[in-house]
Amino acid sequence: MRALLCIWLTSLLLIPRSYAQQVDSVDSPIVKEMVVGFGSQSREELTGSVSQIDGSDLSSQPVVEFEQTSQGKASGVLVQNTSGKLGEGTSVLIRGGTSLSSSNQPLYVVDGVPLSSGNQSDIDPNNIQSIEVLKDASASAIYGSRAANGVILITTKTGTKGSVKVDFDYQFGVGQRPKKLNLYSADEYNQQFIEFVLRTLGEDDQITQQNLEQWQQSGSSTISLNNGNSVSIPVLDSLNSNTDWQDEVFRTALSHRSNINVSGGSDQHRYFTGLSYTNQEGILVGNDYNRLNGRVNLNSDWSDRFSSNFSINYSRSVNNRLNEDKDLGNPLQAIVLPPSDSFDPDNNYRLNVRSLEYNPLTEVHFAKNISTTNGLIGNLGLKYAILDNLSLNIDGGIDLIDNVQERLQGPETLEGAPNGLARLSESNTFNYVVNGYLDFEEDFDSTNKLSALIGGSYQRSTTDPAFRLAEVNSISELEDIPTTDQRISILPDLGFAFVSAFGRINYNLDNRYVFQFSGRLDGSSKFGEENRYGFFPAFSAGWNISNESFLSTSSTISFLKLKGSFGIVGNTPDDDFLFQTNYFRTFYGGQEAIRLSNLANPDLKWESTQQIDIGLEYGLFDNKVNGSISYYNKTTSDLLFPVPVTLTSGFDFILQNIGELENKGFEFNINTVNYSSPDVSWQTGFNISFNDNEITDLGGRDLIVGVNSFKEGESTGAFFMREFVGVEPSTGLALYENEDGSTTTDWESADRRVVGNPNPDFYGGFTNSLTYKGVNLEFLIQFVSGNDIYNQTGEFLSNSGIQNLGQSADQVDRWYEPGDITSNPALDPSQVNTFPSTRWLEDGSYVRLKNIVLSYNLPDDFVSNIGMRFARVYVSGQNLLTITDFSGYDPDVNFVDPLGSTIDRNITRGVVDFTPPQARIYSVGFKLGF
Amino acid sequence: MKKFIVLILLFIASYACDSILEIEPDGIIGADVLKNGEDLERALIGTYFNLGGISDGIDGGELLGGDFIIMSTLLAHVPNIEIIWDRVNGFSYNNFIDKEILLTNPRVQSNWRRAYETINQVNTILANVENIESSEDQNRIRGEALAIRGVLYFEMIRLWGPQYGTGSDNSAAIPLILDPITEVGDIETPQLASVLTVYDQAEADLEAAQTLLAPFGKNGTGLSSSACQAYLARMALQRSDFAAVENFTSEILQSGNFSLENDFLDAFNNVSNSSEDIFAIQQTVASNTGDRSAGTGLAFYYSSLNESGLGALRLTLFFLIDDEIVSNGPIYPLADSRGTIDFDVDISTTSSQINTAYYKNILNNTVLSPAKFLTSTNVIPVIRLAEVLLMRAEAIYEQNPGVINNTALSDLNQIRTRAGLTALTLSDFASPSEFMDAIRLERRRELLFEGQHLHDLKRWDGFVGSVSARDPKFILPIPQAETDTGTGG
Repeated sequence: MRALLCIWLTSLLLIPRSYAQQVDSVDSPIVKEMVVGFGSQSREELTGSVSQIDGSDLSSQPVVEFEQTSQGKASGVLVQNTSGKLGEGTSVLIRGGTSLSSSNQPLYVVDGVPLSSGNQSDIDPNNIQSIEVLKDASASAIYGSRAANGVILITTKTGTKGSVKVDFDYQFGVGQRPKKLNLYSADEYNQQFIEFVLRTLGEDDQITQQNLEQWQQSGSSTISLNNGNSVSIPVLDSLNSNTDWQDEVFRTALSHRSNINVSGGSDQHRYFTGLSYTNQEGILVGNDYNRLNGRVNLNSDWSDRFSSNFSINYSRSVNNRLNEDKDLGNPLQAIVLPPSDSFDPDNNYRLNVRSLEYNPLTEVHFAKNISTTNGLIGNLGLKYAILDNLSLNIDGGIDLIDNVQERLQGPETLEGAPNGLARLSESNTFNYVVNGYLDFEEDFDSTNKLSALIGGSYQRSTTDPAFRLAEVNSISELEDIPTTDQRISILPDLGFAFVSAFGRINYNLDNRYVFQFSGRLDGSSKFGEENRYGFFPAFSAGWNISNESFLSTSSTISFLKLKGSFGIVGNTPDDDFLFQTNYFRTFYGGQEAIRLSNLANPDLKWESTQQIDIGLEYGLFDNKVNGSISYYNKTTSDLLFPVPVTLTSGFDFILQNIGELENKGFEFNINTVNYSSPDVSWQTGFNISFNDNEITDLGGRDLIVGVNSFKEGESTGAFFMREFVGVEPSTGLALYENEDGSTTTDWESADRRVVGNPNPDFYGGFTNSLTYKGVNLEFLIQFVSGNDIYNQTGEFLSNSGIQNLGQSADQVDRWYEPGDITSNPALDPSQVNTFPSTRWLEDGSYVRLKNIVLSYNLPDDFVSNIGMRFARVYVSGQNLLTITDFSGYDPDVNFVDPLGSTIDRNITRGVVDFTPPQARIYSVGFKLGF
Repeated sequence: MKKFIVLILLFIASYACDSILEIEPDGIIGADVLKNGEDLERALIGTYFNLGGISDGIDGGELLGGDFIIMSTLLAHVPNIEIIWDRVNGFSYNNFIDKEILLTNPRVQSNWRRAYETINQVNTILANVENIESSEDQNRIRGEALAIRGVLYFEMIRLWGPQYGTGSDNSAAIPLILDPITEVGDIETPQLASVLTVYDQAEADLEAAQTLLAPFGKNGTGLSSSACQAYLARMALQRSDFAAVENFTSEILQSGNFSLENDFLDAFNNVSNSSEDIFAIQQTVASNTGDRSAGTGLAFYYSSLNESGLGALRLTLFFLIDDEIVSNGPIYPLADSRGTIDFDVDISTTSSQINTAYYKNILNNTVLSPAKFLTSTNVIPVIRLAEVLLMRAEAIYEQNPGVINNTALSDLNQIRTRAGLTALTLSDFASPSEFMDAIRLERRRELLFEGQHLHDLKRWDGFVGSVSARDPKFILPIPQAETDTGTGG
């Protein structure tokens, strides 16, 4: 604490600055205040690049994570769903990722509390006032070392002066699978089955597609071949069912959500409270999600000089999770089961014929995987105006999360046999932050304005994970048995601390020229003494051209501003304590043991990103048309990268600062009021972002994980694999093309090449809002273009009958006999491993009607007569229409390996591997205000 | 000017606050470790953890706890005739049964890395061992650390190097790392040491360890003086230094610390060391080389019990008894308890119900599974007294090949009679060389699938099928991940 005091005292000695004003926003035609770190700025004052999303745009979407609601709404922000499983996380990339090995997710700051828990996903969108996305260095440098991937500021709603207001809303939704894949019919499967047996027996030369059809249609399990041989096809006559596995695992999913807010206040005190409950079923059997969320905000003016704000957000979620995408037992894997087989619910859902194939329904019925999360974000801020133009702010925040994951696989399941298998994972994160800052603002005369802010911050976060596993059939039994009879992983605690000083100076000359200098000095416990501190400055300037005399009278141009910024922000490694030698604790033969976990790496330092941003903001015709254009160039140097080292060190890789990565791009926004009259209005908004990402230097080292790569001169995660160019007509073997243009049937020897890019060329959204009296129609069209997807699901689902699995219907058109011209190779019964190639690489571009809402506001006269402030009913649809060439269920999902490291997650992009799709949801709801 | 002052003051403030960044990790032990006896003791246990290939969620089943046995066993047998390998469930080991080991083979790489990880922790212990106050503890920990290093370098050189004494003793083989690497800056591209240098180092380590550990008897489950002698004997045998083999084995037998179990089957599947285990890898529920959920480890590949594994290692009945089809099999006589088979097993059979040496493979009832390593919670014998007896018999004979020595015959008969076979007499041998054949056959019967046969074939200049066991294809390659960083270049 003494240390904290010394920061504040230092700050107190110094000059300071200002806070908020209300002006227009950039992304929205509605005039709003723009929140920036430790304050807010007007549109004229703002020199950084900030996107704003209005809270009212978020609340009606039937999704469980708030990030999902911001998809397509802000330029420079690429929101991607990891899957259609509920509550499993969303990836948010602001202007491309800046790191290869470290997190590329932005820093989330909720009411001033920088989170390290992931709690932001559990905030009810109904309680959010606004979201500001700080995209360039100038806007984000005040968050210094964690701002390299941008900062998302979430401001929650506060009460306003007046009598008690009660808002209530309820929504009911029905979700469906977004599409149905065209899979084998039972007959087509049985033909494959016959082929599989004949090829196993070496009767390849008897196979033609016609013969297979005839043999199958004859209904006999003994086949007379043309060469006189008679072959009995075992169990063929039992494969007489017709099971639609997609219908067995997908379902109509219901959801309910309700929310009540009570707010109000006096001159002195204002309050806002909210309570919401969400219950959503997943479209795959076995997946559902419940969340309870409570919130209190209190704002008080204790005197002319002294005010406070207090907020607390609690959430509790219970998620019945599905197995991981690649695990047997993921319900979606049922789509490769034979359609001519069936299962027996009385025999643990085993398949009746091909009983060695695992039916995921066994897992659904005899296993559970419940994740229970309690999260809390709390904040208390005090503000004291020392002078009229100088105030002192002190705030403290906490961010806690407690997650318990109970996974139980019964003896009936594949992994649980024979005794049951229980796993219990627990994780606690405790994160707190204390900020103190002085705020100063002085108008020297009518044309010179200076404001300054200076402060310090201390943040500390610890995460305490634990894991235990035993072969028992209940979680309570697992908790009770002695520790020697279970596998316990002593997972090292994670922990870090930041001590920081930050400041910002703004100078405004006549509202025409504005300058800002901001910076943050961060010290992080993640580095050794030599490299502990990093200074992250940013400078920016803006020219409000429309305030110049030559434009001030223009009737066309109502607002025009040119701005530019340059700055440096940082990033830290995910792992803690890497600068020193650390040992893990473990056990051997019942004795305590320690093992070296890492070699001391005292030279490790901050990854730093230099960013240039040039932007133009415009407002035309009384701001009926407004928007912005910006260009940026970010260069990340001293990339933290795992460099391969001699294995005699005991390690495969060591994290070192090496290499360079560049992201550059262009963003365009336009918002228009196309028509406006008291009864009718029509507004549109459009945003599009282009990002180009290239690894410019990696010290000559490449990293390849699966089909993705980090390679010099290529985009991050560039697809690197063998190029499939068809099927050799004489043999039915797959052909792969080498770099020199020659082809080969030997997969192993074929050259691997960069064949695609998982990152989109551009993405964006288009919104429309049409109002006629009380009726409003709003819709959002969201698009992503130029990215490739590796449909890894196809390695099993569309692979010429590999392992004799059920296939997509297009595999009927495979090679059967010499001379066949087709793009699907012959069925090879000996092939058990898949050979990744461009055979399954697809264009991932899509345009999607993300959300459409038709609402009706009951007439004011009517509602006020019955004592209400407003009443609104609506119907809405989510993901109603998707235009894409992608053959899978959903182009907007991305397989995430739960055991993968951050680097695996960063490199593995654009891969779909039995990844559950997002639902198409129809909902109805109402909102009432009293 | 003011900005400048601001910055200066900020720096002062922050540096004054430096101490609050000194946060202590929990659950791991950072920086100043290995400064006292307790830490060094736990670090030593940690090297056994590695030596046994205990599963840590990423790796598992390497070194003495698994792969040194599995890789050698697969290399030493002809696929489908001698043993059958489940290529689907055991695909990461297919290279070994195929005798075509890719430079990128993941098992070769993980064993290589883990061996050097273990050696580095040993080297770190040796560099800090003087921090232990008690000289008794210091000697013991130094002794065990040296023993572990000696064992590993010996096991590595016989897997990654050519057979000793075949003209390649001075050729470069593997890196010999003797200094600790504690900082990233300590990492250097290593030089390859010659076969001879590695053997000499392993011998020096084990001899020093044997002396240091002499006062500690059986030394719990750790490496003891006898274990060092047993390993020195193995090494001398590999180098055909038969006099040394006889010396070391005789000392072990005279120590009286170990005795053969009455029943051969009692030497396996025990929760703690058997009376004949000279050294064994400890496995418990909480820490083992892997199980069904980890998908690694000896039991996972050897056992087909529903509770343990997938039974990837399979054999046929004719391999056990038929010398017409399989020339290289153990040819168990009917009375031999080492050749007993349980056909009455099914998916519900548990390890305690298996009281035979083999049982019907539960996942594929046309083949058999060996019953030596049934579960992942029993100890894995690394070197047993039975092997010591067989080594001595062979060494005595080899020193004087024309003569059948009574001690050697008695050593052999102890193994035979324990298995239920009759004791042989001099009249059973038409010529002295038949005595050597009997020893080889008994080694085969006794040590089947324990990973020794590949090394026996190499020193006997034998064959796997029709290919000489000294062919380079039976030598593990230095992994490509290693050579890519410049090693050996």
